[in-house]
Amino acid sequence: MATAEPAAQPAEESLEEAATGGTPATRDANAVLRALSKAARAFTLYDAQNEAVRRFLQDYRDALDGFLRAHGALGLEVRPFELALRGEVVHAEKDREKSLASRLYRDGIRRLTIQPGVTWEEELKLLEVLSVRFIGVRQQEEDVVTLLTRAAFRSISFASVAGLVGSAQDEPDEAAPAPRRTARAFAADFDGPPPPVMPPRQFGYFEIPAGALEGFLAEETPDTLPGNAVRMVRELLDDANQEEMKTLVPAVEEVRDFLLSELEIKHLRDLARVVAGQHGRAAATLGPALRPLAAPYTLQKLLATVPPGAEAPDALIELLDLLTSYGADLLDPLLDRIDVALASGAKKIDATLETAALRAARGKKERLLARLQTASPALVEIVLRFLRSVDPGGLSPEVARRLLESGEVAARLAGVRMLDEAGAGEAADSELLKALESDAVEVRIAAAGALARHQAKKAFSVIQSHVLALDAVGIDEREAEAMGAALAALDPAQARELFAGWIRPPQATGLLSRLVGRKVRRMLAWTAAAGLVSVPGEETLALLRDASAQAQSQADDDLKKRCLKSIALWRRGAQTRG
Amino acid sequence: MDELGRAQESLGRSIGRARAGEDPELAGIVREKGEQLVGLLFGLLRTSRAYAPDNPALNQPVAELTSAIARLAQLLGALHLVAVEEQVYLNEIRVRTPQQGRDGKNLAAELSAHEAGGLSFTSAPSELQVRALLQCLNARPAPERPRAALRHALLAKGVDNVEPAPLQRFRIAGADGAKAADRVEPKQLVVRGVEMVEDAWEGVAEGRRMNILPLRRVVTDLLELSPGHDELWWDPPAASAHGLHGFRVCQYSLLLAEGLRLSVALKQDLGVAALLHDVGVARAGGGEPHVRAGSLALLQQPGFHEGKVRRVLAVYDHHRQIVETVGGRSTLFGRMLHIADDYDNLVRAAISPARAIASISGGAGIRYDPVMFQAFINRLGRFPPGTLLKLADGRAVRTTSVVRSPETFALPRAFTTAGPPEEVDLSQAKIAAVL
Repeated sequence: MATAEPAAQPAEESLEEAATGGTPATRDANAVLRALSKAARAFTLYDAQNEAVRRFLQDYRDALDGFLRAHGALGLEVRPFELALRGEVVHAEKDREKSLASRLYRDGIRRLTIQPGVTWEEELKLLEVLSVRFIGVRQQEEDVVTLLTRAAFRSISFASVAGLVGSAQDEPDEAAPAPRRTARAFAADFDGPPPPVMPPRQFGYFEIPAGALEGFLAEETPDTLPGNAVRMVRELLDDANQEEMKTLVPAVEEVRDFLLSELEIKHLRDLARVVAGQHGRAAATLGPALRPLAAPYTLQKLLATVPPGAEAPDALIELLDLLTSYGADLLDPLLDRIDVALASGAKKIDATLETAALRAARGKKERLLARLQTASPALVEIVLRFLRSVDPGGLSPEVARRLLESGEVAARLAGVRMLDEAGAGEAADSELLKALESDAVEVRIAAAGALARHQAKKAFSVIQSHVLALDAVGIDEREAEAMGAALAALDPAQARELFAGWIRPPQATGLLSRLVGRKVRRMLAWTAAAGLVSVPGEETLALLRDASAQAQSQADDDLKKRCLKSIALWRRGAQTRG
Repeated sequence: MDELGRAQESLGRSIGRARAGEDPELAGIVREKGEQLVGLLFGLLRTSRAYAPDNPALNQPVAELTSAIARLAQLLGALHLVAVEEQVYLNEIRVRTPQQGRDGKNLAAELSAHEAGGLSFTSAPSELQVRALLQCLNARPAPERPRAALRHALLAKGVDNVEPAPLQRFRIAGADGAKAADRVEPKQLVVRGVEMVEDAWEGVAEGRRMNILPLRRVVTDLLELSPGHDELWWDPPAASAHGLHGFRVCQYSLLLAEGLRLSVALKQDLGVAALLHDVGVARAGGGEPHVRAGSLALLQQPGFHEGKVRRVLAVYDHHRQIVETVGGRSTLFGRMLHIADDYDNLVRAAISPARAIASISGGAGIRYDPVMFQAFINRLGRFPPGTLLKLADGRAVRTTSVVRSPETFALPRAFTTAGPPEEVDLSQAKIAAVL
């Protein structure tokens, strides 16, 4: 019997039930039933993929297999609140909502027997039926009895209430005719004219070949259901009037939700094609049915069907394309997808996805910029490429400025790169100078490099001050080298003079000079050594040698190595310079 | 993924599908209103004993009960309230048992005094009729045949739309339910099946929502009994043509499904589709429009279920010929129903079953799937049930069994038509002619 009671409470109730004692068989049966009950109720509390569900499944399997091995068939009598094995209660729970016995009894099961030959598939099917019942799904189509019948178990049998019959005490009742409702009358030819009588052929009994039988069975399987569901709405949408659309819209929504829950991309595409193929009022009526597919969360779900780095199937791309007509904003989901692929170490981005993303990016410069502000370093390149594509002249210093304001280093770097590529100019250089004050060393390094390439002369003093300021608090080798190189590139002569001062600091004269003689500051010397590499002139070489000698005298091996490296590089450069 | 992982995935998917298949609105209304109906009826039965029937204290509860019945009748059509083993069912959907009286009595106990196990409301009663019903139920039961007396009393008070149902008990089926008393009674099953089809047509004509579960129960019973059972080839005297047609097409389809060795699950879905295959006539009238109308009527049932997809397409395809290519090939169920439907329509047109099946053989490969046709005749035989034959000894017989074995393909069981029916096994007799 179908029941119509409220869903089981999905509160954080305990799944533990008391064990019962008795003989080994009753104890083992109790263990099986506690495990079965817990597993069946687990779905009221947990998602199917939860680790707890997995544990309950394992317990159920172990307990049942253990019982069947040790004691043979498990034959249970179902009572309103108890399950009994050979007359002895092996499971009792007075709480109707929690009681396995109560559920089975109220749904019409009176006896349940599990034979030792039961397969894991059958054990699971039994659990599935009970779980569906426990989760409180009230089906108008099926009840537990029809579900168990459908399962066509081989090793699980059950006795059930299969209907109601008049009891033996019923009385003969011919005295008063029952007020039976009169059936509506229809014309005798309600089914149309009878089919033509055709001349017979010879026929007799012939076995149907096994292959043909399999072919018929293959027509109705879980695999064919999605296609049939789409066909169902497609056929009926053909020439549907507005009245019929009232039935068809919910049907399309049901099919949509089913296909989505099964992640049937190809058939979702087919459904979208069917809807997109509608015209006029039908299109207007039906269109909203596809909108939920266009929601960002759903789009992510659809895209997640493609393993990171794998090629997106044509059906998915076409589906996404169709969904754009129903409000799908594919830009972020696709960029997320590309980001995931890049993060997973994919060497190449799926060109189809990238093309789709680029298509989705059209006219969305602001969105790309916004995205750029939060993008991962790997994605920045892609987004910049998209930006260039959607607005070739639009990568203005203003855009770069906005990027430089981002909290993400990758975005700020992108901003510097844009300014760098934009070439020298007051606006660009002004932004680059601001970038020198960034709290991110990578950004400062990139900005210094860009300013050097732009030959922004006024940057010299800013970089010089920057180095001195940082030196006071600690400047790292990478930045020192970058700044040194930038200074040298901006003005070699001025740089040499500056570096000379850093390598050979002017000494005070007079009596106190021995006490307060100025020492070489290590990172300034490092900066100078790096910068001098590109400064021509023999004096440069002498400076580098001095720096190296000072490092040796102070037993600073690293600085000495840096100086020697610079000397080598300078010589190589000198040869090139002739 | 390991076995447990696969199991988790499969269970998660099944539960998701089950959720998609439910019709929470209908279930909610039946549960809520059903509980209200039973609670009000039970409460009124007890309180009305203390008051005169026209006492204003009864006005509000009577009005509420009348309204609850009317709402349910609008939704479900005829209402069948059954109280059994302390449980109460409304049109086969169990509703919460109302609060028991202080004396521990419940609705079943109240009704059983009249040897009644429930009440059937064929239409929504008026408030006056509800008051009369309460009076009759509270009256002292007649010492003899109390249920018949109750019915008379109701009719006498103008309550012609409420029928006291017989006492009910559960019928046990399945592996351990082999008691003879609990076997499906074939003739009752035919009556029930025909009435279910009639109710479904009525519901569609009136725009009511369909309740598939009782239909599925009929199919389950047919499968348990065997769709070719000899005693099922009996026409209830009051059966309507469309009700009987629906039931017969269901039987033929299930026989064909046996020939094709379909699974129980597929047979269940096919059986329901067959019972409902012409339901569109109730909405669109006869002829071809009923095909589309029927599909749409079935599509209206809320909730996604594989059975629904199968029956909608089956109905959509059930008049299509195998050679038709527009729209693609008919579904499995569509092709099966096409054979079963045409066969029964030929028989309904007073063509002998033997000639009807011969005619179907002529259409195999053109109108019908040829392999399916073979499976069909493998179950129905050369002389399908209902065929009138003349035996060599001059007796006339009507066949009553489907194929029992390949050897008896053309030798079914039969009953003589003249005098008291006498069973004749045609494997022991000689057939002279088809009448």
